[in-house]
Amino acid sequence: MEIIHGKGVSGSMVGGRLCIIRHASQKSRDTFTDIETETDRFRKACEQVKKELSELQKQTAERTGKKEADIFAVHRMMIDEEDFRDGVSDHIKEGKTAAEAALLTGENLARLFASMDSPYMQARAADIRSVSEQIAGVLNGQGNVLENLRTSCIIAADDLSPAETVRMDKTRILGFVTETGSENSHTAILARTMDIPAVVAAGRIDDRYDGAECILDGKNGILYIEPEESIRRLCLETELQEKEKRESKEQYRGKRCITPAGKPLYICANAGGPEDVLEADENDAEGIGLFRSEFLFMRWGRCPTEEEQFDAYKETVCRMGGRETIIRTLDAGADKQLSWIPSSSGESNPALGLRAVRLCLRHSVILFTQLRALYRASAFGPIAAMIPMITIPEELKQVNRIAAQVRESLTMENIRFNPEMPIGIMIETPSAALYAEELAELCDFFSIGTNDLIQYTLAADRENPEITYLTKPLPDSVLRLMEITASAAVKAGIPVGICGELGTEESLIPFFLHIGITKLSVPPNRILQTRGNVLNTIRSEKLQKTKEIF
Amino acid sequence: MRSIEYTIHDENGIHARPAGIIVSTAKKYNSVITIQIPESGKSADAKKLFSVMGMGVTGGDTLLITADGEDEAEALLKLETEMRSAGL
Repeated sequence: MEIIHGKGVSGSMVGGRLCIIRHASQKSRDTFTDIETETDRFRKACEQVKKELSELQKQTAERTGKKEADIFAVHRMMIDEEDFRDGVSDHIKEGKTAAEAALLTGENLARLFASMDSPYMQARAADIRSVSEQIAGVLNGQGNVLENLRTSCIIAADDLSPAETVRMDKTRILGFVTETGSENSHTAILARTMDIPAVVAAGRIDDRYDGAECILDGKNGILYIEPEESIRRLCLETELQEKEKRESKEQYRGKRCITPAGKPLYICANAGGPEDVLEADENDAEGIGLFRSEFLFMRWGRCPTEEEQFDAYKETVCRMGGRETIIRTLDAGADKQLSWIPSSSGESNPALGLRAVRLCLRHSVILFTQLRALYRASAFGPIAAMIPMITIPEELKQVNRIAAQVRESLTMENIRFNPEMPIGIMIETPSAALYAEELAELCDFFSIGTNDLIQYTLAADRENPEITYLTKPLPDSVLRLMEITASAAVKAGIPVGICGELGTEESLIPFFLHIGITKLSVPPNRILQTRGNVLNTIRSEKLQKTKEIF
Repeated sequence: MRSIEYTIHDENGIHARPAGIIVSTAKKYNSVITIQIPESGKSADAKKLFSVMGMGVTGGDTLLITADGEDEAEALLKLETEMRSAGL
């Protein structure tokens, strides 16, 4: 058994035969004719690759999404770049073949990016290499190995280009292992989308292992070649568990959670834009628990008009067909700056500055317009407004005054709306949690934004790896604030939900049930799993009770 | 000659896709368009992909975009809009 260590970037364990793919650079074998012929061959190869790239762009746009597809447009532009063409032409003049010239130029340009500080830019060096390798591939008359995989296998390569990953027959790929690459490489991203194991930066994999039986552990970043019995058994067990997990998720579709207290616990979706609403629907969401309205405000580079907002909210509410949609009002500032708001650019501490509701109250026309659009959409289905970052009751009183003005203006203009549209708040500062009783009297629901609540309670940035000890495991202080919030809500008879990453935390479900949480809002693809976890927790708690009685 | 200031919000900076958007927009105009990072003194021809990508612009950088030519005003306006809608 041979063990190769790399970096695990996706999936768990899978077993299969290794298929090693080597790129054009190692195989270029043509001979130089003359400058004119080579230049002409290069030009024709470019045209062919550009055609292929257009086709790939189209396919990807249909299968995956426009954003992912755009990379191929950039690849096409790279081919037309003067820097690239001139570089190739210089190499041809030096007596290099068209293929060699393309590879050399690609490599030179790639080096420029590989030397940059940002890991993201370093990963882009692969894009440039990919383009030149594709051209060289056409010139060397290679068939694409990846398109013609005969049996299912684990792909091993130096690195894979986005063009190659799109072309692959995905039904036959069990996993990826690349010799170079990073967490941001296309292979890693693709593997995560396909939900299959991947290991990157595994170092040189000897060609003699081509076709060898192996096991890939995408979690721990290990490739076992000709694995021994114990590893095989472990792999089989893991595969089986994974399969069960996937299948078991589906059984929670259509199910609903009733807490031991006899109340429903809704599992809703977080959405960042219209496409998430579709995904929420596909995943059996019982509503949208958090719809981030920022995308509307980022789209045009100016404040969206009331009509534009109204259209977007109305469309969402209609698409959710009777299930409640909670729309969070503009949460800009701090890490989400809007260029058209004269805001906090000079702040030394934006996370503690003029952001979210603070910004909306300063420029109250933004809030007025947004609430008007929301009220108007409320005529078309259950919709609610949620105010972010309320810290003291006075802010909420001001919001309520603006909401009253909006209702008054709509009534005067004879525009249809639901005057009872709920207005709730996010509890994401320790101050709001401690004010929960007062705030509960002033609004219709609470939603605990755990990401910010954790950050502000512990005075710790979750992204800062130096201080993870503060956030993992989660200290009781945060849980106590959540408990204070929930008990104030229960006392006032208003719903209290959770809309942060903590909502998917399986180990906290008993705590959520205990403090009286009525809604968990999670990313669309986590809904079924979360519902399953809740149902299982409820079942085992009931079992426990029965045991206590007897 | 006109110029605008633009602050990059995307934490990844101008990576491949947005660079493609900038270059393809800039190419539609006759004006000479340059992008500069005044802080570091780096600059690039906005019509050259590798040159734009090669600046290594990161999130938070403030750019000075300058256009010179008969369609300079329109070019800057369009560039700004396209960059905004790309989430840059």
